[in-house]
Amino acid sequence: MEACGPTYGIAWRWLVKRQYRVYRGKESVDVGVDGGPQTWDFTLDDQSGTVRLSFVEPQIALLQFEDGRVVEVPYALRKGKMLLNVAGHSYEFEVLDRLQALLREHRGGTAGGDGALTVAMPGRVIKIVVAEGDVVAAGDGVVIVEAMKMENELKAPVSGTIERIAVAVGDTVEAGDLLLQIDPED
Amino acid sequence: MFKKVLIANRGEIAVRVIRSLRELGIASVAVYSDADADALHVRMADEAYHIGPAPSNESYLVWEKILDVARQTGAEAIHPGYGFLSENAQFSRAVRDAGLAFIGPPEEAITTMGDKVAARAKMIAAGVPVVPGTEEPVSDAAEAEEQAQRIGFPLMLKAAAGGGGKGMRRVDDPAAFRKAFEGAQREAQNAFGDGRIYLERFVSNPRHIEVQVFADRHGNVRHIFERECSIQRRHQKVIEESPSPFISQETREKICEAAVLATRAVDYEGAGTIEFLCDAEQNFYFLEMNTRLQVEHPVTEMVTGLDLVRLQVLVAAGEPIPFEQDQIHQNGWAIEARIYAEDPEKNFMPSPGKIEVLTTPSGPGVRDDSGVYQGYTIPMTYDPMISKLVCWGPDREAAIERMERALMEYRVLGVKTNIRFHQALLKHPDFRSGNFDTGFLERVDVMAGVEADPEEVRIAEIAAALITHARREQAAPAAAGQPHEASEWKRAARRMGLRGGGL
Repeated sequence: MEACGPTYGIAWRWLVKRQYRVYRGKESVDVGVDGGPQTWDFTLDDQSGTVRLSFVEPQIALLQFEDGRVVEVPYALRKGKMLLNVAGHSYEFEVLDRLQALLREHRGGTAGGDGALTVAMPGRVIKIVVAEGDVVAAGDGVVIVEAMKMENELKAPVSGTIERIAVAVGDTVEAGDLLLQIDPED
Repeated sequence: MFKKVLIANRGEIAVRVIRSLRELGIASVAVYSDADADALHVRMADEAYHIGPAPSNESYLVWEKILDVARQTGAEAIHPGYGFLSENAQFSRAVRDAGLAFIGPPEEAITTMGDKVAARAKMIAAGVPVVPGTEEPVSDAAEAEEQAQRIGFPLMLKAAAGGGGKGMRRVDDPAAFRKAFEGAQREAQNAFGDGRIYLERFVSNPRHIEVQVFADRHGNVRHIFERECSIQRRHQKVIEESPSPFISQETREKICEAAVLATRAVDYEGAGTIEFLCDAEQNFYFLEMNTRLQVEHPVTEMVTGLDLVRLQVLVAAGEPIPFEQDQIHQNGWAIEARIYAEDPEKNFMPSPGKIEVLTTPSGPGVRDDSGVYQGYTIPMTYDPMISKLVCWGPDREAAIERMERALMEYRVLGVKTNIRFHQALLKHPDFRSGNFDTGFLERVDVMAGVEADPEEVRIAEIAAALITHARREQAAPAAAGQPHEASEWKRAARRMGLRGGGL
């Protein structure tokens, strides 16, 4: 019952302005976005501004800032990461929404660590049995990967909540790739 | 003229050849391995045939399979590109034996120039300068000393009977020669049972300058000027240009003349390149001859207006070279940057993978010879070349500025590239002044101190959040209201239930 108060307040803010935590390696910044569908107010640390966003090509976004600056941003999503190119330089980010960010913070670590389910050998994801937010117990089957013409059912390494699914059915994966992240129960 | 030609190669050079064939009205036949079924050269060819699994020695190097395809398709000639079978004398012979034209030199020329000792002997006989050295190894110290005087310092001592550094020494000071020679001899004797030593001048910090040549079946030999290829990493060329910013007009005339002499000495046919080492005093020495078309041929094309692949085909079809020596000129300046899928931060390790987004530059004076396209996955099995970006300007400064502009337009997302490396190199004062040699990249880390612009990083972070949010909105608009938010509520409640407390 007492949990409703603060939750209600936070949720209201979520409805008005979205908060994202953008990770670049281990470093992160919080970016807030508000408005849309074409013109957005943003905040980044202590900076704020307005930007117009359009998709000029299926994988190229165009940002126009208030001061007139125009920036073309080719982008792609790959295995839960966002690849971006700004002024010819490539970047790789992990963009978490507020909930995902809080859960990661709560766990006390950044990507990986306990709760991470990675694949041991190259293969292809053929079935994902769970959804983000589901509660699982250690040992539950969560993802089926086909490798060397055999199906392998991969199991949750810990009990907890599925925080993030990093792959989609049909994806090719390499040894060491993150499949999903579980927020372990305390 | 041929009606159909098979290209025994892949990647950007296969695409390059297809283009010139198309302009000549000649049908093109491509061959591909398992890894190349969707490659650009397959997409562009008129016909394409599968020749085996990805490894080159099971596909592109298996010339029996390639000849089979040629026979099946009625191809009248084979263009070998560069690398793979292009300098394989046996293949060249097999093509001719099969009654097809090999778009390249006769096997004797390939064999002679492929043998360093034979090539050197031919060059000396022809009067082409070679790196001064002993033609026969010496065992007598007094004779060695005499030779050393003739050859000049610094020089290298090398064991005749073997390598691996045994019996090898560099001598800079004539006074130290005797002792060094005797030491090298002893070492060689112990290691190989043979104390004979070769002497060879050591050209320190040489420049690599090469001359494009062409020969036809009518006795005509032409040079098509020089290229400067001194910017190399681990003996691989990285950036090339024409003309050379270093040599004088006098040296240019001499080196091009020497290249023609060298070509005549081996009864050549087709395109070739004579590579020279050039020292600080503009003395040049024959290094080797590449009996094929080179990767960096576009810079020669851009400053002369010629199509070298077209010329290769004409010559192979028995036509004479369609210009006199005095009818071609170097006009302006051209620079080529090889764009590779490699990671400059991991010692330029190859970075194969899927190209998610590709934007290539164009506009005045910009040429991109590519072997890839957006959505293509660069395979691991071959060299990770993305394209050759070539820019022309009326002078060197303009060509550099144009290359910098073109590199800014070049966007590759999905694999790492060496674009940032090229940008750093082009800014380096020694590159801009033309003051570099083959040791430049060993000595200088052009990317030292290159860091991401913080403002640019901020823009990228804003873009990342915005794009993520906008995509979510498109998938499940908040405007539609409840369903999206309700599931978030549910999840939040579930989590709190798990913990038995607040967030």
